Amino acid sequence: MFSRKPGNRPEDERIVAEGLTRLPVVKAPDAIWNSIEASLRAPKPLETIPPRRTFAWTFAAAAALLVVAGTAVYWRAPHRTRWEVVRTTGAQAPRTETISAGEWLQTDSSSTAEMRIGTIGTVEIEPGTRLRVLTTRPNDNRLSLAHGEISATISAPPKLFFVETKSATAVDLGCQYKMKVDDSGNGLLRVTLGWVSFEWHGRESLVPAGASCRTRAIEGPGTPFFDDAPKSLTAALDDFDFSNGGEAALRTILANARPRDTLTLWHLLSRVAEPLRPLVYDRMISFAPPPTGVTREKAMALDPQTLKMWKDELAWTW
Amino acid sequence: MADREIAASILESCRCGDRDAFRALYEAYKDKVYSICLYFFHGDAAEAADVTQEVFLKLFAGVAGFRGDAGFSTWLYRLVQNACLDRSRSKAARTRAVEAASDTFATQEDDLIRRQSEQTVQQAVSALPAKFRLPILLRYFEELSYEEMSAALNCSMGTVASRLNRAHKLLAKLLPMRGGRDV
Amino acid sequence: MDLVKRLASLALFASSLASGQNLSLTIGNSVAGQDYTMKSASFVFRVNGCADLSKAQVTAVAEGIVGGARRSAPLHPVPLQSQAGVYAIPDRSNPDGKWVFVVTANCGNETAGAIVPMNGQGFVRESTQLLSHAPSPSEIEAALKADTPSPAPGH
Repeated sequence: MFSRKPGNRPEDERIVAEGLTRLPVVKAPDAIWNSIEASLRAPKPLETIPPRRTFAWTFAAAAALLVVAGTAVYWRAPHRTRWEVVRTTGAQAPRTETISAGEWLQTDSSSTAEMRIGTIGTVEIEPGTRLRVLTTRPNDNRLSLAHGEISATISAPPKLFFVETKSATAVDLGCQYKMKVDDSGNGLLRVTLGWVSFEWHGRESLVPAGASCRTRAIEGPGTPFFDDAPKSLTAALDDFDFSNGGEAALRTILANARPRDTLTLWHLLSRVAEPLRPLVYDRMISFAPPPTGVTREKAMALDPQTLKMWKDELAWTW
Repeated sequence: MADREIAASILESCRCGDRDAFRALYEAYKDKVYSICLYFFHGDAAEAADVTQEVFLKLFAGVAGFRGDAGFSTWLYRLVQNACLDRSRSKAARTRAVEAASDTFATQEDDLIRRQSEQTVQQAVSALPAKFRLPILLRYFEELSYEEMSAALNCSMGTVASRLNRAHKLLAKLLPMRGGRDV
Repeated sequence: MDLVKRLASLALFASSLASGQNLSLTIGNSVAGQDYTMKSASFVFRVNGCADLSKAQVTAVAEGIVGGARRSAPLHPVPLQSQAGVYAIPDRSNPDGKWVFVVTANCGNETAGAIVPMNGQGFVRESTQLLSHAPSPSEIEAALKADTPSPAPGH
């Protein structure tokens, strides 16, 4: 009964065995041994490594992918995520190089690259992009996008991967997205899977799949909108977010909103002047009654628990 | 030398505090331990790394007391079970799964298909209750016998059989039929 | 036509309330599941009005027409632990042919169903039918024959 002898296996076991053979044995990260070793001996003080070598990938004819290294200071961290630039386009054959915290990565007008963030995901880097790796810790993988465009595909628990720009930080919540910014920090985030939290100095925009959010230098992230929202709504939203469009812009947004645009309206509820909140609330409930527990009074008071409860229910319509 | 003989000689050296021997032991088992932890914790690489580290530190600390009356694997995977369940209880782990990591790169398309397939399997494993997840992972990653699993999981063989039986039934419902997950 | 369908769904929902039918389904994008691991699911669905969710039984099947031939294949709803009574459909529809995903939920002696048309982008909310009974073969065939909006440009 308890033998492992081969032979006729029950159908369930056969299906499971076949399925589980698809699960690979995953290589343990090198950093685990480093951490074990560190635990087995006396802790070391802060270590400074000498200036990193410069990565200069020059291609024969076209301009190349260029990595400019900076001096990096390393702490003996418990673990470190291995970041690699694994692929490039251009005349040269693809190469794989490790990239570390503090280092810059830049593509020219005709080159692209793919950066692998440990085992949690990848970042595709478009031509004309410059970014810097900030931290590579398992709980904090972070880069700074100076300008250009990237596409991130992250498969990890939320809040392990961050992209900073001059006007907002994208916090991964389990997603796939594109982000584009110019030198000033003006840009656009477009999410294709999952959610992204787009944050700046306490202002947060939750951007789900199928939606986008603009960001402007100094102002920070705007209000999210679905990509299929009416142009009249998105134009008025731009006006409201970045040109002091005020009540006139708000009324245009509300007039053109569809049931799905409660994504935008939910965010606006806490962004409009208090006297205008009833307009937004009334428009939202014209699409669907609020869930049990969400009262007008609490919503007007911007009670966090109430707003979260409402968002979680509205998400079923987004 | 057979694996068990290697382990015995290395264990002896570990008992003497031989750091190189411990490193050899670590290298022999690290990937499987990490993989089991990774799939137990729904693909959470950080959790898996932490628990893997914890397991091996406990192993090294406790190797002097290992009498060898049970197999080394049994002892090791008991450490794994205890560490996984302790961590799971303390952090109230949620059922999650991520795309499996890969050490090799195929074409993007092949990679996507393979990752979709792995993701389905991971999601199915993640959907199992914790007490079924470890037996399944030990069965298919380490190929432990029922006797070995009974010792590792500190329960009777009947309990092992029962849990595996239920896990197989649940997984068989969750896993796609032959030919992939596209319909 | 979409408006007619929407009104029909609302009428069905209203009549089910009037008849005392409590069980219903809600269909949503994967983000509604609040489970990042299911971000690439075709959709998530919630079983509403079941007093004891542990006794709810859900099934799902893909029904399609590929190259003129009728096809069926089982789907694999995965219960999400982020929310009780919420399931994800991790399966993706084959880009070839036309497909609807049919979901049925049972709780006690009540049944609810949904016919969820799929296109290259995912599920088509506007054409989704929520029913107070298990979808019938004729309803499924009608859904397969109906026009399904194509994915929006740029996707």
